Amino acid sequence: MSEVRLTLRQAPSVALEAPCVRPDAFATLSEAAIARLPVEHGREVVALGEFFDVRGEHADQVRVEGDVRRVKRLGAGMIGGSLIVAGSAGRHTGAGMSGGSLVVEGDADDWTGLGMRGGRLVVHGNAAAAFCGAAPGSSRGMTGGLAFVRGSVGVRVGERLRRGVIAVGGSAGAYAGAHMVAGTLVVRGALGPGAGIGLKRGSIVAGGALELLPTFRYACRYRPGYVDLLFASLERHGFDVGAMAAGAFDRFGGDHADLGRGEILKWTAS
Amino acid sequence: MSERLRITGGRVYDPRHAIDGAIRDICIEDGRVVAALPGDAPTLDAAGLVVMPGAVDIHSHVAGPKVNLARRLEPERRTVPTVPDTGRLYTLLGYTTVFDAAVPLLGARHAHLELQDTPLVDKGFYVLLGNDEFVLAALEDGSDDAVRDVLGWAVRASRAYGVKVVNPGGGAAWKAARGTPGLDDALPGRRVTPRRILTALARAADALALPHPMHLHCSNLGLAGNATTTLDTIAALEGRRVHLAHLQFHVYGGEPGGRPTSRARELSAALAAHANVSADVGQVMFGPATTMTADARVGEMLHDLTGRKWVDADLELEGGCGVVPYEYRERNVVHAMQWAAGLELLLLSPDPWRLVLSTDHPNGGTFLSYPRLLRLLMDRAYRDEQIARVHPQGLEGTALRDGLAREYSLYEVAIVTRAAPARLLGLEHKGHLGVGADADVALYAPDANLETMFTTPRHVLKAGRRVAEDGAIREETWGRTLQATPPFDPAVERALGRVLAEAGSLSLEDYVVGADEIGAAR
Amino acid sequence: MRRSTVDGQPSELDAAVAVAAGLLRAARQPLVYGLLDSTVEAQRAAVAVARRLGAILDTPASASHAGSFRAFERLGAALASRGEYRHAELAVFWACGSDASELAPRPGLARVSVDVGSARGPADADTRLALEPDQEIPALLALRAFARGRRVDAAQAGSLPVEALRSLARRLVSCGYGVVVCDADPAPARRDACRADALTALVRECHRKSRVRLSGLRRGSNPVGAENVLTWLTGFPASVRFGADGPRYGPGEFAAETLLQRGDVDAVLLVGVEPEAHLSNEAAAQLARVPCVALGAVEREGARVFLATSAFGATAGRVFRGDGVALRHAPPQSSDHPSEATVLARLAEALAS
Ligand SMILES: [Zn+2]
Repeated sequence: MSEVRLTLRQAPSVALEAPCVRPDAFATLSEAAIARLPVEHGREVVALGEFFDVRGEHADQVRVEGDVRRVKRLGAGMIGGSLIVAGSAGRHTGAGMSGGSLVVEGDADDWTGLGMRGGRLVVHGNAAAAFCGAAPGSSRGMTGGLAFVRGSVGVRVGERLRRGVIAVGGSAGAYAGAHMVAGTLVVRGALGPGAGIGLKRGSIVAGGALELLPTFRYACRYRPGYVDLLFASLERHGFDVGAMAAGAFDRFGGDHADLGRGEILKWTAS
Repeated sequence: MSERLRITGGRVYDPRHAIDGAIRDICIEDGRVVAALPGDAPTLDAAGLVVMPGAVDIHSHVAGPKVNLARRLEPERRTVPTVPDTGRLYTLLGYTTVFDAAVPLLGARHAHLELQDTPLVDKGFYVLLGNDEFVLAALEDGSDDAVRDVLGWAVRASRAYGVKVVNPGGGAAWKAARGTPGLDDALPGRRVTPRRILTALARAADALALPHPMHLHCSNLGLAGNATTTLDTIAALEGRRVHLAHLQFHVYGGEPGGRPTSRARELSAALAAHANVSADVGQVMFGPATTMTADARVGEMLHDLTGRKWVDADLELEGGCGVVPYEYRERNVVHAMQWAAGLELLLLSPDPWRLVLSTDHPNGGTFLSYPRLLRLLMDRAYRDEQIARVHPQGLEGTALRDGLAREYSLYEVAIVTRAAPARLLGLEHKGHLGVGADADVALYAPDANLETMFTTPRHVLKAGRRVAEDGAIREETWGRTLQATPPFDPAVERALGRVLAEAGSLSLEDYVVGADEIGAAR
Repeated sequence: MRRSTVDGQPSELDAAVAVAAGLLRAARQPLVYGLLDSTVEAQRAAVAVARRLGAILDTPASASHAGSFRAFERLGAALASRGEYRHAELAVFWACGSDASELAPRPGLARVSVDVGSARGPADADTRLALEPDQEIPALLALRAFARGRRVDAAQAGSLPVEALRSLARRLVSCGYGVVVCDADPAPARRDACRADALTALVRECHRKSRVRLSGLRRGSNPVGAENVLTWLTGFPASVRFGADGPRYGPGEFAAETLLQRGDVDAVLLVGVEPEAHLSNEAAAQLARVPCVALGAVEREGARVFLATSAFGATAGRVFRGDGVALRHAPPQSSDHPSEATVLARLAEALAS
């Protein structure tokens, strides 16, 4: 058997907490053992098999089918293997993942990839708030890995990003890259208000419209060599950088309300 | 119907009665140790087990405004346990009595609210004085009697067990103008010096016959060269009783502003020479910690050092507090020195009855690291392994480097974790297993790994009830709040009221915790 | 005397409590919500009920105070109890007034009002600075940059009143003691994810150079009690889920507003709150569809079970002042009704049996 397939059989009536759905864990489990894994349906602890048809075993390739928008924490903490959510996923999908590949073929809900440490996370649709953001109180958000969203993302994408790359094909909500410590955030479309607030270090590459905060300062117009290296690597992973493949960037240093060693690279056609 | 239990055949360590591992039965009736029980009393087989009185933490931070700020500050780490977990986790280690070392007058009600919700253990706190307008105003008037009455009132009003003095006068000076006065420097705008505050409060604590002497956090905590301050402080007290809090943080040599070194040997000698002085060690343990202190200067210093989040809070008419998350690392030269200095103090200790265990939870590490600390003291081979891991420069000049061979015995462990803290606190019924003692008992299964042994007692009894077994709580009981009840001249309330009328936002009644505000909430 | 009711019919308290317990026990994911106008005693009793139920526990602060919670958790805070404000030489009212008489006009105190749109500070302030709503965060950042000794490019500053901000920053870093007062429970239209963070960071920056404290104005009778009680009992100030592995924190995630909107709760226990004052219309509409047990002094329309209690104003107990000082609450009037704490304790007993 090369794949474990979970098909939602019964829709949960309230949120279902299912952090046990992890390809690395399934690799060593039989079909029956997977079906027995505990999930929390509200205040009740029940078996995964009560909600999902489980087909397959001993495989770290996992596919989840059905409307799982109420199923939370799929792939949270996964360290390897592959997890594909065939539709839209619930909150906290892939939170804290440190390895492997996670693909959401529909939309991703709030806190997807929260505190991600490594691996590859791809969302075909849109992602909601705090995509690859930071857990409450933590000084670091995402600390490694690659995350792509083909559509748009909600507010506070990449908050406190420490390392790794986040690339967004559409637009980003308010406060993109807030309090970034390092790392790179690429947004092809427009950025909402407050982008780069509290930026300490790191780069935000902005392809679309952007209202700059006053605590960023213009430096120069150029096309940094590392942007092309970055874009080449993104293209290799299937992320289309669009018009940014050509043109130049205006570099703004900031946020001077904070450490101020970061930059926003604002794309311009000329 | 009385509740009875006979603990049979255990190896008993009861230093107060000089019992060093003798096989004894312990008889318990209605929460107390008794001389004998009828033959049909229920038994708990302790054959092969080590039997000790429940342990007593003389210096910890478990309740009140700053502890709760620390909990809120760190949802991501949770170094500071919740109140229910505090009671449970202490109990699961065999600790049955815990004192919070620093609660301001205006935080007393809040601290008692948390203590009400703290299960299992007996508990209490020391009320902070020495940087407050009440004591400073009394000292300005020049009367030691007035200070004694302020202290008496403060302990009664806050329902405290003792008095804590933090960086005497220095807190007030820091708050007013970031000043750091020496022992004989007048505070800004006042005629009062730290020496005067120190001696007046030590004398007042003695005059009121408080069960525990003045609990003192000396000035210049954490700074290079502060050993001199500590030695001067001991000299200033001229033989009066004092308990020095977390001594390890106050034994540093080195140039002011430079890297601190350890002068633990000198402080050990000073401890040997001054029978009036006791201390808890304030051991640093590697790993996560949360610094929380009424010494606001320290909070600011640590924030500057770490650049991390920081709570800095001032309290009207009293001092303030600082909270900064922290991490002690083996490869950090200063942390290694601090770790070594604590072990030096403990291993060179001239008298285990006067130097007792603490990590100043959660400042030097959490109380959960006590079993590891005991292993460091009892197992030289393990200690040497750990010594090899830490930054070698941190060990320079320490006695640890010279190969201290001492290993604590179970008897000495029973002293520094039980008998001595109970004696220093004046707790007649704790820290021993003689007739009349509170039946707080911890039973351990011997293990070659002493950390394992002390992490999970086989049984823990609190007031005679079997509350924990093999790492799980069996029954959640409610301990008592321990208070001292010194007398005071009610006339002092007029003077206190004047201070409040001039500068406070509250009235004197607001400071008084009612009898109905202590005791179990449920 | 007002009676407890079950399905609108008068009921003895014990019978009503039994029905309430059954209703809550039957739920898959109950929510305990409120604690705003409750004593500490009621708040801790509500935590006990929520723990026993395996409920989600939340307060209105999860919406109104969300930015402040986040700022505190990221940065900490520079705080002072109210009586300390008598030292203040400078008070900056950030789009709000004050609840401290220590910051009323007096000699030696300079009072600055920063007005943001229609959110205005005290009318009798010495100095005023007017900002458009979309200038507010940029202004806070510019102030902080100035406090750090950085400059702000005119090209980036747009229409910001740069000179006024530079001068205010200078006053903040050079005053002997300053207090910045802000609205810590802003109305929905004034909520912003980063304002409290920017204010906290600004105050800390200034505090390292002078002495400046942040004072957040709270709404409700005992919101600070709620976050303190929840914190010492669960580790977290609001939005707590009692799951299989103990209390878990989910700001946003376990907030009443989104839980209701998403239909993720199927029974609600209301304590010390008028929920409609704190929820969006959609969430309030969903609340009306969910079986509800309400404690209170005023009967709640549509609640399956109403448990009559004394009003907050007639309940003795302990409360926290806005600055975090715990006080005794001694009401002028008394009530014939049992307190929320008493009724919640009975409910907890009924749930245990
Ligand atoms: Zn301490």
